[in-house]
Amino acid sequence: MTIPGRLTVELDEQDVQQDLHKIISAMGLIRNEQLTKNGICDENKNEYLHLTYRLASAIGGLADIPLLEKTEGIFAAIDNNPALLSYDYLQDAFWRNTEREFTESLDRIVIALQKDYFTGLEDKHHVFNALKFLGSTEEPFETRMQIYDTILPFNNPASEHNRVLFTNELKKNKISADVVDGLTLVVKEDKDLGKLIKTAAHLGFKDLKTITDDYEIVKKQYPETEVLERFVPETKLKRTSQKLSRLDALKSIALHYIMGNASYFVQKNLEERFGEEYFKPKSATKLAFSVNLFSATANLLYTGLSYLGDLNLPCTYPKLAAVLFLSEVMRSPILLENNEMYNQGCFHMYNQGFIAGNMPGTILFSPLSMYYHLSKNKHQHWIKVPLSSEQDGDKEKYLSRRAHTNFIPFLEDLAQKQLPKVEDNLRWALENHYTQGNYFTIELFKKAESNSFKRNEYRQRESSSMTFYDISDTGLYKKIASLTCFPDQRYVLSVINKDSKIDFDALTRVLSTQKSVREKSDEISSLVNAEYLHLIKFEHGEKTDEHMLLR
Amino acid sequence: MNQEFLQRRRILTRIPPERVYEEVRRGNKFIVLEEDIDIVPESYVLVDMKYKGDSFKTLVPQQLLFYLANPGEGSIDDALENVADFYNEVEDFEDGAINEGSINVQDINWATTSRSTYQVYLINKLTKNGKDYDKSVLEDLCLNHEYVQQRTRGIAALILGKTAEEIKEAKLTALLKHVTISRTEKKVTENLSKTEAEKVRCYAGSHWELKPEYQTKGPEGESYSIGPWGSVKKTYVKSEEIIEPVINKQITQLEDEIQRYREGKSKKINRHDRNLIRQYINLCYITKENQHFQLDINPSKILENDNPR
Repeated sequence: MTIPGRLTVELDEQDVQQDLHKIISAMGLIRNEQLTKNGICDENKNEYLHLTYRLASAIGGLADIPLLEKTEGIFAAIDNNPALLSYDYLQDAFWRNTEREFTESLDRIVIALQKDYFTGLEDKHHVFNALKFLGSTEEPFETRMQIYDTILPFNNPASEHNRVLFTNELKKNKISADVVDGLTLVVKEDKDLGKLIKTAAHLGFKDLKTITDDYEIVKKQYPETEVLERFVPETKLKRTSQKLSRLDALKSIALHYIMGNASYFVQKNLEERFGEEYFKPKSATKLAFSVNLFSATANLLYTGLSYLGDLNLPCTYPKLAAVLFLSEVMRSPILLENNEMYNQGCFHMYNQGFIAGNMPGTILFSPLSMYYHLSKNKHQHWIKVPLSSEQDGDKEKYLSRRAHTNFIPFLEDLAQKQLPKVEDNLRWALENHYTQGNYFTIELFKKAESNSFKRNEYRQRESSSMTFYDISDTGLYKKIASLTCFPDQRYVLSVINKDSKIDFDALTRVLSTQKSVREKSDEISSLVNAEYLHLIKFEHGEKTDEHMLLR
Repeated sequence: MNQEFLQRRRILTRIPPERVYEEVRRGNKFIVLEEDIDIVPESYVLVDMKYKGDSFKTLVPQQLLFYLANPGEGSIDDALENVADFYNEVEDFEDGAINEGSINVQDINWATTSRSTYQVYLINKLTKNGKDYDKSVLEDLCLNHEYVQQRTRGIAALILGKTAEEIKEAKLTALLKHVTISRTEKKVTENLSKTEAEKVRCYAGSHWELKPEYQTKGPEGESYSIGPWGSVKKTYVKSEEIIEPVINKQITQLEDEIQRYREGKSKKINRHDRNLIRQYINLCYITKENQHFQLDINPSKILENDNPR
């Protein structure tokens, strides 16, 4: 193959339009991956900036006067409210309340740019970043760099530009959350979960991390909830324990000695609640047992010696020592039994470690034991609640919404199909009263099934027509793609609007008239209240006319 | 004199300036021309891309143009190298434009075309005839090893937003850790069946008693006692735990684990391997469920140990 030394390639708007869809699609993939990671790495930041530059170039290449007029509203809104620089699609509900004109202009720009390829409003994020790039071209270098810093696969509500705004909003809802991890709002309180979820979703967080003492009930209420780890509250005791263990070894030993007298249950609970690093029950029991036994024995010996030798030594509370000695003697078999060392002699017990309390300690710490018994099953856990269902409806719906494609090329292929044998089947007559359009439909869709085109049918006898349509729900907007077949004439229609109900009867009547495609487009546009409309006419398998309308 | 002659000749025949020759000598693949030239350097093509009357001239190697115009044809390895280098150079040009705050419609066509061409060659590298996977490539990437499979499936599960329970059902244990939600302990006493009791007790002439080895607590804390008519009761502590699976890994961690595993298996780590693995995950697991959740393939990614360009 010979390649010439010089080539001239003429690009047209269609080529740039195709590039634009590819760029938005690539940006969507990066955004999705970074959202999954809940963090943005430098490599992806850089690639995303390059894609934004390309998208800005494509928009610059395609921009016509109506589109440029729409962008003016966006730039004016940013000038009035710089917090918008950190706009993210996840915050859309919040901005729709506070900056309605801005969000609606952005909706229209995305629809105008993507036309039949419109897949949903999430792409607003990328288009807005490209508009920021375009709007900054005349700015000084430093300002441009500041704007580039906000061009990210996702923006979080705690970013520099809008931090104050969102913090105030949280305060208004009495939520004390000063920790934000990526797009996760962290609330370290066991609060009204429903309210928390609603507020976090409204503000544009992706997940909510909070604590609960009844995970199982929360899981039933919000099935997508995931448990992360056990929550250990930073109680006063724990803080004291931390301080003791860190600052003063002697005080830590004292704590271990005192609590080593408490019952097994209390000691185990202390360990569980405050962590093994701060309280070691085995060491505590060992310490208390050894010290008590030694001191009581010494005391008794001392008292005995004093009494027998008539030495008249100072009194050392022998009764107390006797009680202590007895209680430790009572504790020892329990310790041995607990350690399964009963038959091996007591010499091994120091090596094995054991946990048990003595009688005075058990009585003394019984209120604590009772408290732990009452709150035994109320362990608190960190949980993560995904907020996507709150923002986009249920997960299935969200996924299917993202999955739909541009059906117009598929419908155009069908419209070009010549079916002379079954064309008459479209015309109503007494003999085909029950079969009008049936054979035609079978022939039309033979070997032409699209996996995602959910075929709905509308049959009109008066105009001898069959309409096949798909309605995709993209959240706020609906996208309708239809093919209306008259004998020897076909109309492919693409509409984006906010109404889900389309009067196909009236629509087919408009298409069946003798008016021009332009007139029909105008009429249908007002009929369906279209934000975008694209009508293509085919006659005998040939594309003869088309018209596009944007609000 | 010589310089003056060259200058005159340049004006008459529009010879490429020195900068262009220097870039050609270095083997650059995306050379932007500020002015038109009459003499095109050997093995290069001058491509004049026009949009609405605006012209953007570049010199690109003939071989690269062949790859971009016929994605999937020619030597796969050479194409991957060339297209990735080309994409990097396009991005270098874009860096300048981003710094200046300018836009260029034609440049995006080069970038977008090279990005999609690179992906086609990745698919061709992974497959033999566009359908069946090339086993030797899979082996080289360790994609048929259980350890790597767990992680590739895990990456797909994470990007598709699967829950910890769904991941557990798919037996992707490498991704999960387990958290104990609650633990309850209760003492259980049960009567042993006749045959079981026979093993534990013995008749002492006047009464039943436990065999010596069953008189103390067992290794799991179980104890036995003799009831009326020689029945045997077993007492033990039954603990019940509710354990929940939790996702414990991120995509980057799993990718790093795959790389470390391959290094451990003494595999040569190639610059395109990460993208090949990503493309394999897209083809094998993600596109089947939802093509809009594919992993991004970025040709400009270069391994740390690669030589800087």
